[in-house]
Amino acid sequence: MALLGTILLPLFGFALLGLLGKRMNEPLPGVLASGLVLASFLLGAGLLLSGGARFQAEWLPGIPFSLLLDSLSGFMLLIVTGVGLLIHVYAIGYMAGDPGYSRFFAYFNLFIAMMLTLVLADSYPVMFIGWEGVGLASFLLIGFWYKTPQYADSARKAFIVNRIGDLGFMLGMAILWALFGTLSISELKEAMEGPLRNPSLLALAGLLLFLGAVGKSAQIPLMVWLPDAMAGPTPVSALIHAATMVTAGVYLIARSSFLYSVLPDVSYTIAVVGLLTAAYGALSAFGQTDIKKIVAYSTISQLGYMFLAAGVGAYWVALFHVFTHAFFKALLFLASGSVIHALGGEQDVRKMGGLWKHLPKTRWHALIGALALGGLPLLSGFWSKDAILTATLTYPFGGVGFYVGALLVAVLTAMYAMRWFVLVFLGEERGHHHPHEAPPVMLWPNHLLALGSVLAGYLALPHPLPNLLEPFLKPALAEVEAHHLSLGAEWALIALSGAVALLGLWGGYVFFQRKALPAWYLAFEAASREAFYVDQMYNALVVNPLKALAEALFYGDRGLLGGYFGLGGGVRNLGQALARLQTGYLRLYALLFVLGALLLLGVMRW
Amino acid sequence: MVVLAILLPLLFGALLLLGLPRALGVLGAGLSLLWNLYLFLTHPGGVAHAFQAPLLPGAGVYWAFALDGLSALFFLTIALTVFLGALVARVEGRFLGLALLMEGLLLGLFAARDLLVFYLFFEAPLIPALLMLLFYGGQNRVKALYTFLLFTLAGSLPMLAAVLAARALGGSPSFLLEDLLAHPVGGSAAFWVFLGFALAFAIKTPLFPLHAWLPPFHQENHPSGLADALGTLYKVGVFAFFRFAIPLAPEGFAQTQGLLLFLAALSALYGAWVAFAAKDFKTLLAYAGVSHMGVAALGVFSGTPEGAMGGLYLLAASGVYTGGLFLLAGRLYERVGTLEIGPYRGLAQSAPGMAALALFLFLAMVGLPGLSGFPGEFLTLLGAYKASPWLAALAFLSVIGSAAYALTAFQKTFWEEGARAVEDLKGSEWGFALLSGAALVLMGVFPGYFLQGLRPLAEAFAKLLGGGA
Repeated sequence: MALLGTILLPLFGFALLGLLGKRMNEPLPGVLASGLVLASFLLGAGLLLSGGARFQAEWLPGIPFSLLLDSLSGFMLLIVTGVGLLIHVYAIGYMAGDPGYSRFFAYFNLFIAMMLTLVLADSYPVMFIGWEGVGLASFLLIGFWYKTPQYADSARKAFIVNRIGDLGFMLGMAILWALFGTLSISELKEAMEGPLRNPSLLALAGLLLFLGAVGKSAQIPLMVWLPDAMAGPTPVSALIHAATMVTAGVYLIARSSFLYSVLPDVSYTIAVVGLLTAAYGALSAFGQTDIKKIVAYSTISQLGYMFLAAGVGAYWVALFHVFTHAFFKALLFLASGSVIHALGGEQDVRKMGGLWKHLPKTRWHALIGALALGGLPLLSGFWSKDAILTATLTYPFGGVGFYVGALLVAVLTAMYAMRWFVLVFLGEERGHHHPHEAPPVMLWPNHLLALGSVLAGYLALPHPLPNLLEPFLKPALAEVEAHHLSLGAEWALIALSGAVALLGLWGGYVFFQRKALPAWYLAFEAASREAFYVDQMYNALVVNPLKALAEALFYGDRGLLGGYFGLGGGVRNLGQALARLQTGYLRLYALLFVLGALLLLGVMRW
Repeated sequence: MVVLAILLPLLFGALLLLGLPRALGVLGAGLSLLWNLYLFLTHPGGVAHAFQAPLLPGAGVYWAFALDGLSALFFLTIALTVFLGALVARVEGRFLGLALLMEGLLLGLFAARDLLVFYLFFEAPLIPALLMLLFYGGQNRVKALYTFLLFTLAGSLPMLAAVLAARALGGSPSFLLEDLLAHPVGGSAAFWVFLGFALAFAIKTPLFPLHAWLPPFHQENHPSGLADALGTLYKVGVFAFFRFAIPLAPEGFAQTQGLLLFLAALSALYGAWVAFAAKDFKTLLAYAGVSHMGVAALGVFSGTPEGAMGGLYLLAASGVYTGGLFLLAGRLYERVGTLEIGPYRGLAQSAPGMAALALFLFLAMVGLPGLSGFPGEFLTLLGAYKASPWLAALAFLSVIGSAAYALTAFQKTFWEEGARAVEDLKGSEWGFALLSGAALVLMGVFPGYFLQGLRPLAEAFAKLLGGGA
């Protein structure tokens, strides 16, 4: 019951603020919402320390509403409520003065409640409640400033694209139900022990569940909604579209590791999709001119890294990167938010520059975030990315190709991270703004996130240094046989990845301060700005044909009625003829009815 | 008990037709809701409150009504939807009287335990439905009425033949359901008997391509949405397949199951797709209804316990949310003077309560977990997959389509920038919002409670068809 409380607390906040928030003065809704997330965090942490918890109640026939707090869901719970709390507090300052202030925090609390449902679920349908619930919260928050049609479109697009993945999730569940007669994760885990029944169908189920993850975590080919989702207020981007919701797909794979660890082909597919997405996101980040969209494509890319790790079988490594990424990506977004706030709403990096001297605190947040993203040795991103790189060589579904690809993407990552930083903070001022530093309520969360961005990586250091995370998560994840590299080889690889990151960071720092960039780069940048025309392609090849077909079917359907009467124009004549009968029509029907009844009675008697 | 439930709305309906004030109708609908709520909450399980009196004993026809887990659920959702309509639809007393008459007849339909009495109650709601269309419909109502009538009659006559044949060929001593079930029609005759039922029920589901009467029916009905809500409740085909057609001639069903599954899946996808192109609320909801009924039918046609439970639950739930959306469209019409989607926008600004209600109803329709549409949809999927994985996948493409049409309509009405300010929910509309919202949440969060009476019926149904729990 206490476990359910972690969900009910923020859900209560949603109901309370949704119904009565309008009557409250600022900052009460924000403080209330933050307080409830804090309470949920403390409750969850307490339960985790006391050894976990379970909850079960009746829901659908044969499918109970079951929750499980184990090390895996506990880990996620702490990220969701911990980072969530910091972002809630930041938003108290960021959203100040917005007419929708209380509505914002109502949706924010709804999101936390649904995200907790997602991570605590011990059955797939229960996870699906949270899965679609966070999708709804995301929809409402992307469309928070719904007056702008473009923002409203973005919200709708996010929901519809996610629904494609959700259909995969649903069909995957249908297969598991048909095979095992249960959708409880604990029970499925037990049922999977022993020889596999129907491995090809199981692989299809795995692929379909992965399709759900692809939608939620914006992987190829369903990544198109995430950049548009930046239409929402910046705290939304930080919380939902960077630190937590978009990692749900990774969590789904990790939670289902008992399934994927016996499906090598599917795992391989996941790793390939992850690596391709990592490369695509990184390449698309270079051309972006919106301060948030650079970070958004970076998120797509980093999520790709997580799927790469999960695909090769290194589930705990994927979660390690979820953890470090939550800090430095939230920090990057919130620092972006402080910049936008400082410039009175400006988001175009071409109109920024030279903010180093104006934002004495935010500049450090941004620098730490960018360096952690770029993988500067000893910062959090370095350790987790290095763990992924090593895992591609040591885990069963990995391979050298994955390693080389991931290393190349690491160079790109360091370079675009520096581009972002250089364009915003260095060089000359290109805009005409009067920047002012953010208030303390926005700075303090960033201080803590910056601290996390530096330190989070020390949770799991490479062999032979201490690794606290792997043994903690181990009981909840599938056993995967990883072979160990020799100590020398392992540290040589670490040195290599450190050198590569430094090279990329330095290269980016120098290159993007140049006055004139070479022509080949500008050509690349132009394509990158359009994210290599994927959106346009989808519109031309999928969306518009489907819409046109809808119109065609719509008009065809009208014709259907005419078809029944066997005469296209005849219907109109009939209608006109009948219109003349209009007054007597009722009697006619009554007559028919009576005749019918008499006939019936006659038949009875006879 | 059950007869009182049927007579109550009939009585109030008749009083209103005699010219008594509208307020009395609201009272009647409220009493009916309370009574049916009481019947549901106290329902002991199994077949309860059986009532039987001879109608034509020589011919084996009885006034036989009873309440089992299935009809108890529908009694509740029907009474609720009608009460919501009575609360908010600004219509004259006689109109509401017709609605109450129709409610009583629909309750009779769901409680009937005699095939011939069922036939009468299957046809009878047509009369108030047609009268509402005729007296209160739009410009082209005659054409819509003619279409509706023709489709219905095309189904009725073969159905009547099937009713008579079901008893004669099965050798049942009476038209009572229990007698008929003990004497199902077998052999080659089963096919023809089933077909006679199937045509009528497919029209009333409605299944593609027999849905053509539905869009004009909704488009031409009164903008208040009251007649549309009742019309939605009258889409009883899925129920009738489950209770009568399939159990009475299971062999006939077995021969046509593949085709029916295909048509159901096609309806689900086709309805959602066409709905996306709809330009006004009534057309949108008409096609959305085709899509949802396709899903519901798929569940029952799957012949599995999950599918049957899911399909029927979806049917019950969709009565409330689709009916609610029709009524909400009526509230919008009263404010902006059109049912078109898009000419005004941004209503969430001036009417946030209404926007929230609309979003709730739309999300239930989209099948968001936690609201009433999801349990039925999901159970249907689990059952349909067992019957036909490919058709299940085809049908459930509609979950993408439903998100597209529902959220587009929501956005083009409540979001974006609009010049128009309208009044938010007021007075009884708040009652409508709270009551329908509570129903959506309760049916979504506690489906097990609402399904407990349905489960044994669905399991027996699957067993009859050779499936099993």
